[in-house]
Amino acid sequence: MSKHQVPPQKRASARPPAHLTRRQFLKGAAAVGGAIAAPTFIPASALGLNGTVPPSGRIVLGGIGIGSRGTYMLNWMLGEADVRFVAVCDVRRSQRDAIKQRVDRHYANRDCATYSDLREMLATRTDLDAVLIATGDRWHALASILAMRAGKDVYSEKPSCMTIAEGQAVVATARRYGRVYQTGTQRLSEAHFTFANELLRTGRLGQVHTVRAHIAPWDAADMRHDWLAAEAQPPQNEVDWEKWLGPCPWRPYNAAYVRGAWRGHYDFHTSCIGEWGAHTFAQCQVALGLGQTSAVAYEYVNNAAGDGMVVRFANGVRMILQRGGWHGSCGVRYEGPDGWVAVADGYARPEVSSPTLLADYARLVADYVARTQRPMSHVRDFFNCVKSRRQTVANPEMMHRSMTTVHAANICMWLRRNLRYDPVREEFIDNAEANRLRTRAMREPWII
Amino acid sequence: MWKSIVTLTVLLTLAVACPSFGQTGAPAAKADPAKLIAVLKSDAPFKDKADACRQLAVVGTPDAVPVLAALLGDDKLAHMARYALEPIPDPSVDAAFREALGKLKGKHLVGVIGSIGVRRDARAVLLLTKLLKDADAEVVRAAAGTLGRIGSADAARALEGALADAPAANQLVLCEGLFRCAEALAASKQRDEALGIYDRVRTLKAPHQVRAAALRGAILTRGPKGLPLLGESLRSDEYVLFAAAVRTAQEMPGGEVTDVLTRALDQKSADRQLLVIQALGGRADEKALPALLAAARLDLPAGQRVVLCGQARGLVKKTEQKKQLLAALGSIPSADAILLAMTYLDEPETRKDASVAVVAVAEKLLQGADAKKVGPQLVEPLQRVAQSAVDAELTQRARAALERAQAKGGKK
Repeated sequence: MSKHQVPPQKRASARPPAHLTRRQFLKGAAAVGGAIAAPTFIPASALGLNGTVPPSGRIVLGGIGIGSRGTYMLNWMLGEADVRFVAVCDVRRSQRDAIKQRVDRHYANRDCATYSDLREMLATRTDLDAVLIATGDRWHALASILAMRAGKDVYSEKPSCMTIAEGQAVVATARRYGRVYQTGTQRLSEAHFTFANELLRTGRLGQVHTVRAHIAPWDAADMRHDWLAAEAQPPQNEVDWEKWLGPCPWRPYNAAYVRGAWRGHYDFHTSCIGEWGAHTFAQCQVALGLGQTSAVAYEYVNNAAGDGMVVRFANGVRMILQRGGWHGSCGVRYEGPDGWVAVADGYARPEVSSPTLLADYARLVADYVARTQRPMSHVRDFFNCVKSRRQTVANPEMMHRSMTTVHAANICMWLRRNLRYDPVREEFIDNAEANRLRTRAMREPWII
Repeated sequence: MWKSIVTLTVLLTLAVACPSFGQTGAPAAKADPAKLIAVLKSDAPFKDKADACRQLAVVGTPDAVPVLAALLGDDKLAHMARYALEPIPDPSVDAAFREALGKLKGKHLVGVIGSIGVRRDARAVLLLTKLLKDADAEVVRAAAGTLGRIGSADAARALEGALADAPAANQLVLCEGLFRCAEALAASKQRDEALGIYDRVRTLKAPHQVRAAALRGAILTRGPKGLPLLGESLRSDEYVLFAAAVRTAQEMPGGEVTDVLTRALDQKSADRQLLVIQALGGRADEKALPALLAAARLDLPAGQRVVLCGQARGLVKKTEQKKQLLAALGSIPSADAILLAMTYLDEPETRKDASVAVVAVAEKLLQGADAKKVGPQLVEPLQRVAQSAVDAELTQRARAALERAQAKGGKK
């Protein structure tokens, strides 16, 4: 554990003065400590608490669409002592079985339940406090909305919505039901990226005028609209193709989609811009203090990827979409009159214009953790918030606003023209075609 | 021959209708709606017609509406017809959807109901109200959701009427619809109507998330007059409602909310106390600071005091407040307290107090049973204090403690 992480036990209770005796307080605190240490698994629902997990309780977790990325997240979550994974839902039988095996092996039992229909799991498993959603992009928002309506807190992989309208619906649903939601932009909880954000926040770079956001070096902004060759559809119990497609337009089955070749297709993916922009735009917007708004202008660039597109925020800061020039993934770079900082996955340390900027690395990160009480662990932040009912670092509004920037950049590329966007009215200015692309009709029976 | 000519014509039409940049079906603004309509009227393959719909979603005009509306019951193209129709900004689309309500059944009807919701067509309320009694449960649920999206007072009345004798399976979606109506009514200054909805739903025997949502709405919609309900809910015997109140408080600005939370610190369990403390700490309101700092000075387990100090850390601004926090930290025998104190070592006005706190905590820890375990963690903080030379005596104490920490296994 990083020295910046706050162990769950240390988050156990405290009390204020004047209202309660110390003895009463210690009695409560002992109960907290005892519950954390207890090996017995008692779901909050059994205590009449379903839907809310007290700090001393264990979080009962389910998973929806757990593939390779989801398995990585699942392994991370299984390592959290106060989390119990009990059910998995997947339209692919092989994947349901694989996850069950993984979980049962972890707990040395055979208790992990499997479902092929998320509506059934959400409706019948009232013991679930939270769900991990790691489907393909097409399902992220809809599954999140259905889960939150069913009273679950949600950790959703990114990109967490396919359209601006879906993002709005996620925000509204989380707000309506008071649910805790975290999008999987985990770099918001990593030390190097936090250091870069803190350099910017504390003014060490001067008034930052330009940020650069890495977009994925594969795929394109121009999406595929072709269909892969039709293949014989497997039995519904093996792969439920209708449910795999979910709200997307129907097309004939091809096994490659299910194995991951959905990427790059307009109906299923948010392009090379969304693939990493979901991370890097969020990173830049949070660093700039613009996590609750979106960019206002998008300049079309004549290439297939959107490489070099200049996006502007209302305060004049430019964000440049940049495909190359990094030696790691999901990079960001912040530039001001007094210096610059660049970070990407795999950087041994942040790159800076002057070594003196690095001198305060540990202090700035520690200060961030102390000030915000956010651990340098994205899943831990989620679980802490499930218990405290606090907003997560990658909360719905931040997700929606940064994904709006992603969607608008995509629409700029698809329409091949500059666009202006009003983040208050959440509409493009003087561009009817772009406004029509803010939403896509969902295939029946799916409605949000 | 004739078939070949038709096929060639369709292919040419597609080639012209589709833009050069993407592949077939790309959401182009330059496509010609008339040619896309021609594709729909032809015997072109399903894929081509689906692509034409996809493009009409971007460029479709009222001319396309009748052609698309005719496909709303088509087993293959119904969805793509809605895909094209939903974004077309013309009232003829609403009329077409309303007309389809009386003709369709099953999944096609569900789809059209959903599209009406997306377009928030208030003229469909009566038709949708009738569908709340449909034999098809999926249709009932879709109608309830769409009435919610429309969000008018008469939509709300329809939903409330249906809620009275709704089967349990439909309760959630009816309440979802009512919440949406309440949000829309509150946003259009019809606060009393909105409050009526929330208060009625609060009385239902409903799943936890519904009761939490109703409570949230009831508090927020009341504005400042919702503070007593907030305070009362923070004392609720039901943990679900207590937690919902804590969550709701975080959406509410103002010192009065801080006061309500401060008064609610006296909770009957440590779990509840923690939630209130964290909500207070997250308010960025200095008014919460005295309560947090005073609690941090109590003779409590070290980990809990560090949590209190961590929350206070986010609120302190003035030097005097920082010094109070550092004084509290200096009395907590915890390496985490040192980490918090160190964040003030670089500020000239707090350097000495931070140094005092670091040395005091280190000395306590080095006397404790875990000295060997914790010793290595103390080396860096003590080195920083020893090098800062803010005070000769303090420097000497820091060096002495540093030697002990190094002797306990910390590297030199």
